[in-house]
Amino acid sequence: MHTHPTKLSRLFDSVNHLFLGLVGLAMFLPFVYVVLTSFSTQSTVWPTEFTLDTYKYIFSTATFVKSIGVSVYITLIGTTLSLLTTALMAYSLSYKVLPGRSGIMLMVLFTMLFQGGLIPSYFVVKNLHMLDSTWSLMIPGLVSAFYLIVLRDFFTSVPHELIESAKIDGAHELTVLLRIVLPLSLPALAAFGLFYAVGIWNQYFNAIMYINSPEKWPVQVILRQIVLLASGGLGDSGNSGESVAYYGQGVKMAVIVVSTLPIMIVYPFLQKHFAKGALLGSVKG
Amino acid sequence: MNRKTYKTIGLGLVGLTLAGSVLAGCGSKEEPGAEAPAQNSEASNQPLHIKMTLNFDGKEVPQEGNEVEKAIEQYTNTELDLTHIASSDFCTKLPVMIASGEMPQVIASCGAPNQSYLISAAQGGTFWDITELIKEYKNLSSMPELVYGNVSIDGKLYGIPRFRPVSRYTFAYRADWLENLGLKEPKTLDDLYAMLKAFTENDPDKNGKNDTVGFTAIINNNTLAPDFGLAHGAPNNWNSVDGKFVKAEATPEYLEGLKFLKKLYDEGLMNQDFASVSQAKSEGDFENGKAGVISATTNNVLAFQSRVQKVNPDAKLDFVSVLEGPGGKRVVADRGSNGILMFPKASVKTEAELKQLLSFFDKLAEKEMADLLEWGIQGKHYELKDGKAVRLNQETYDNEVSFPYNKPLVTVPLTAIKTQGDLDPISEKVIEVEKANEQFAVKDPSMVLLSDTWAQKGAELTQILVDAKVKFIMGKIDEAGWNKEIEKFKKAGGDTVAEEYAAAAASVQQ
Amino acid sequence: MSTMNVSVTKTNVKTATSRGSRFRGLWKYRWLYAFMLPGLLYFILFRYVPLWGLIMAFKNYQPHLGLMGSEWVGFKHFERFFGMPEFWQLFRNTMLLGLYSTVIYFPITIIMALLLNEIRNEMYKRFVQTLVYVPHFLSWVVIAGISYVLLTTEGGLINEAIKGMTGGAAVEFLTSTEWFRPLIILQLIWKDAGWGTIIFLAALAGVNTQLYEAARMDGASRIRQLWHVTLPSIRSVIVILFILRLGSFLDLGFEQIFLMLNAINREVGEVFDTYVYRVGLQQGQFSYSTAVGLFKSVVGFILVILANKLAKLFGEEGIY
Repeated sequence: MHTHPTKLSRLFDSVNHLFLGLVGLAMFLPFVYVVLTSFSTQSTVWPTEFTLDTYKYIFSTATFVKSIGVSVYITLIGTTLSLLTTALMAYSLSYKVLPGRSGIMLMVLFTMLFQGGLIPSYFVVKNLHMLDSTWSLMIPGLVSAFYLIVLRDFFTSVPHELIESAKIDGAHELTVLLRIVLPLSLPALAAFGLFYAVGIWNQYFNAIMYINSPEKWPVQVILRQIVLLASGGLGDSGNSGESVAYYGQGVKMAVIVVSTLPIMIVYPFLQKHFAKGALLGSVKG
Repeated sequence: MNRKTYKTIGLGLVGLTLAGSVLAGCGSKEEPGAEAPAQNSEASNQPLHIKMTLNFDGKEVPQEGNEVEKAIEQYTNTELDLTHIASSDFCTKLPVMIASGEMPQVIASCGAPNQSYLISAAQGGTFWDITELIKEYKNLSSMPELVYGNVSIDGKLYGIPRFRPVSRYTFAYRADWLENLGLKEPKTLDDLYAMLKAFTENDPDKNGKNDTVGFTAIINNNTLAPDFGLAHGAPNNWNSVDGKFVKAEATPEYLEGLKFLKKLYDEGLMNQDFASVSQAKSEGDFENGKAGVISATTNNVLAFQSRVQKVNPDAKLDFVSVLEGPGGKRVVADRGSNGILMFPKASVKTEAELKQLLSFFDKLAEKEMADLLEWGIQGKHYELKDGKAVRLNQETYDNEVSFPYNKPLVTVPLTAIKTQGDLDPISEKVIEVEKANEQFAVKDPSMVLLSDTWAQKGAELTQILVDAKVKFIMGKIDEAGWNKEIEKFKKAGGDTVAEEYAAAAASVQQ
Repeated sequence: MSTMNVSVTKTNVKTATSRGSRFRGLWKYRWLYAFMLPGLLYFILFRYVPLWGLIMAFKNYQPHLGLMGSEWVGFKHFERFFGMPEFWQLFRNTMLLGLYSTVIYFPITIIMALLLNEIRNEMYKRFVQTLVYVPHFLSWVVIAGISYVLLTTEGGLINEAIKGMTGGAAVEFLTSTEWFRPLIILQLIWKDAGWGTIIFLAALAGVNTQLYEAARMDGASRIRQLWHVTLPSIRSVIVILFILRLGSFLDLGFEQIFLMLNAINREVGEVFDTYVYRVGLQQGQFSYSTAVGLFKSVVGFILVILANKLAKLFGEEGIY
C-alpha cells in the first residue's frame, strides 16, 4: 500500500509498533493474572500451586453449565433480531429526503437521555407477558438508540451515486439495501453486531428483574452472584453478620474466565471485517 | 430477481419481525405470582400449594424435588414452590414486586423491615397483620417477645421474624499464635491490645520474618469493624436520656473508643489500608496468616477456621465476644432476627388461608422438622451417636440444607427443640457465648421507633459519621475536626432525627 | 463502477422532485417506512410508554399505591436535591470527571484507532487489537481488585517498586484526593480505550483506498494523508460520537466509581450516580432517584441540542 517509505516514516512505524505492543501487553497482563489465579486454590496475591479443582467445581454445578447455554442462545437470537431491526431502521433514516426523518431521529435521541426507569419498564414487560421468558432478555433492549444513530451515519456515507444509478435501473429498496448498502457497510455491521452480542452476553440486570426460574438464568447472573458473594462488593443484603456461602478467589476467577471466553472467541471472526478496507470494487450496481 | 420477489421478501421480513414480537408475548407459559389454587376446605387432605420468594445467601439454588424439600412437603402436607433470589438482587426486586402486585403467598423482607417503602406498604395494608394470630400457635408463640417487638411497625407485626442470636459480634483470633507467644485468652481491652502488639511484633507464626499484623479492620456496608465505642461506655447507636436522644458518636465515650482504634492504627497494630481494603482481601489476610485477629460473628467463626486450616492445617481459631473496657462489659444487641416472612393480601385472600400458612411455619418448628432443618437427613448429613447428632460434612449440610431451607425458612429458635448434637469446641462455645452475651447486650432504643427523616436521610447521615471516623483514625482530622463533623451530622438532619425519635418514644409510652 | 469518482465530502444527492400531495410523498417511501416499523414499535412500547414513570419525580411514590395513587408533592424532591449542602460539590465532581473523560479518554480512543490503522503488518495489527480489547470483558469488581493489588500501601506492587527505587514512603493512591481522578481516568482508558477503537476502525475500514493512492501520487506525506484523507473520512463519526457523549456527560461509570470511593476521597469522588445509588435506590426512594435522574437528563439533553446546533453550523449533518 505505502510504496516509498521515507526514513522518518520507517522510524514512526517502529516506534508505533513498539508502543502499541507495550500498550497491548499492559492491557492483556491483568487478564493473564486472572487466568493464573483461576488455577490456584489459595487467596494469595500471587498464585501458588496449580490446580484444576476450580474448573472441576464449576462444571459440576448444574446451573452454571445450563446458564452458558442460555447465554449462547439469547446472544445468537438477540443479536440477529437487534441487528436486523436496527439496520432496517437506520437504512430508512439514512434517506435525507424521507418525510418525518428529522422528527424520528429526535424522538430516538430523546430516548437516549430520558428513561422511564425500573418500575414502568417492568410493567411493560409484564403486560406483554414476557416475565420469566427468555424474550425478556432480548426484546427490552432490542434497539440501542446509540447504535442506531451511529449506524445511520455509516449508511449515510455510502456513496449515493451508487444508490441512484441502481434506482434508475429499477432496483427495489430492498435490492439497494441488500446489494449495495449492507455490503458496503460490512465493517460497521460487524462492529455493531459485536457490540450487540457483547451487550446481550454481559447483561444481568434484566435477568434479575424478569427471570424467576434459575434454569433460564444467563451466565452473568451466576457470575455476578459468585463474584459479589466472594468480594462483598456492591451487594447489600441489609443483614450484617449473616453468614453467606464462601467461594475462594480461584473459583471466582475461574468463573470469570469460563464466562468470558465464549464471547471473546467471537471477536477474531468479526475482526477481519472491520480490519480490512471496504470492498468497494467488488460491488456491482 | 424482479421487484415483485423483493416485495414479497420485504413483506415477509416485516411480518416475521412483527410475529416475533407478538410471539414473544406468548413466550411465557407460566404466570409468575399466579394465585394459589383455591382451597375449598381446610379439612381436605389435598397438599397445600405454597409459593414463596425468599432471599438466598448460598451457592446453588436447590434443584426441584430434592430429598430435603420432599421431606418437608411430606411432613407438612404441602407442595412447595420456592423461588430463591440472591439477597442483594432480592432487595432490588422486592419493591418492584410490591409495585406490580405480583407476589407469592409468602415473601421475605430485605433484612430488617425498616425501608420507608416497606413500612408504608405495611401501613397501607399490603400485608396481613398477624399480631394476634401468632398467639394461637404453640411454637410461633414461643419466640422471645423482644424479637417480635423489634420488627413491629406501629406495634403491629406484619410477618414472622427469622430468629438470630441477639448478640453475636466477636473477635476471631489465631489461638495457635496465642499459644506460641505464651499469652492467655484476652478478657479485657488491655489484653486485646497486648495480644495485637505481640501478634504484630513478636513473630507469632515463628517464621523468623516480621510479616504479621494484629488486626485486619475493614469498612463494610458503611460500618467500621471493629468499633470500640461500646466498650468505652458509648451507647449502642442511640441513647435515650430523660426522653432526649443522643447519637452514640456524639458522646465523649465514643471518642475514647475511636482514640483506642487510632492508637492501634498509629502503632501499626492493624492494617494501614483499612479504608480501601476489600472484604475478600481483608478475610484473605486472616486466612493466609498475615493478620491474627478479625471481626467476626459467632456463626462464621467455624467457617473461618476451616478456611484458615486449608492454608495452614496446624492453625487453630478461638474467639472472644465481650471485652471489658473502661465502660465495663458491653456488647451490641441486634434486632434478633434476619428479616421477616410476610403474607401479601394480594395472594392470600382469606384468613383461613393465612392460618394454613402460619401453621406450616409452626410445623417447621416441631421436633422432626427441627432435626431436618438443623441436621439434615440422617445417614446423609448426620449420624446419631449415643443419641447425639454428629454432622458428617459441614459443606454438604450448608449447601443442601442450611442455605436453601434453614436460613430462609426457620423462624423460631430450634436449639432447644432439635436433637442435641455432639459438637466441636467452637460450636459449643458459640452456644455458650450467645447465651452469656444476653446479659451484656446493650439495646438500641431507636430500633423500635420510626423517624421519617432517618428513613429518608439515614444513609447520608451515616456516611458523614463513617467518613469522619476514618479521617480521625488516619489523622486527617483532629479532635476539633471530629467535633465539627458531629455538628455537620446534627445540622444535616441528626438533630431532627433525635427529635423525631424522642416524640415517637413519648407516644409509645402513652 | 470502480472508476467512478467518489468524493469523501458528502454530496447532497437529491432534493424532493415533486411537491405533490403529502400522501403521495409518504406512499412513495412506503417501503422505507415499512422497514422502520419494527424499530418504531420497539421505541414506542419500550422507550416511550415507560416514560410516564417520570411523573414519579413529582410524587411521593409508594410502590403499593401505584403511580396514580401516590400523592403529588410538586418540586419537593428537587428542592431537597438542590438544597443539600453538598450539591455543588457533587456537581463539580461530576462535571470534572465528565470533562476529563471527554477531553482525555475520548481523544485517546481516536488516536489509538489511528495508530492501529497505521500498522502495516496485518497479523501484528490483529494481534495488538485482540490484546487491547480484552480488558473490556473484565467487570469493574475485578478491575477494582486488580487496582488494589497494584496500588495498596500494604505491599501493593507499585508501592513496593516505589519504595524499592526511591526508598521513600508508600504513596496513598487509593486514599487520596489528588489521585482519585487520574486513577478513574486511567482505569477507564485501560478498560475501554481498546474497545472504543472498534467503531473508528470500522469507519476507517470504509475509507476508499483509491483516495490514498491519489494522495500519494500527489506526493503527500503520511501526516498529510492522515490529515487530508483519513481524518475527513471519519470526521462525521467523531462528531456524532462526540455529540452523543455530551448527552451522557453526567453519566459516569457508576459501578467503577462506587468501588473506588472511600472516606478519604469521597469529597472529590462522589458523583450524582453514586449519591443516588446510596441514598435513593438502596433505600427504595424511587421518587428522589427519579428526580435526580430527570435533572441529569435535562442537562444532557440541553448539551446535545446545543452540540447538534453547533455541528450544523460547521456544516456537519448532526443527528437530526
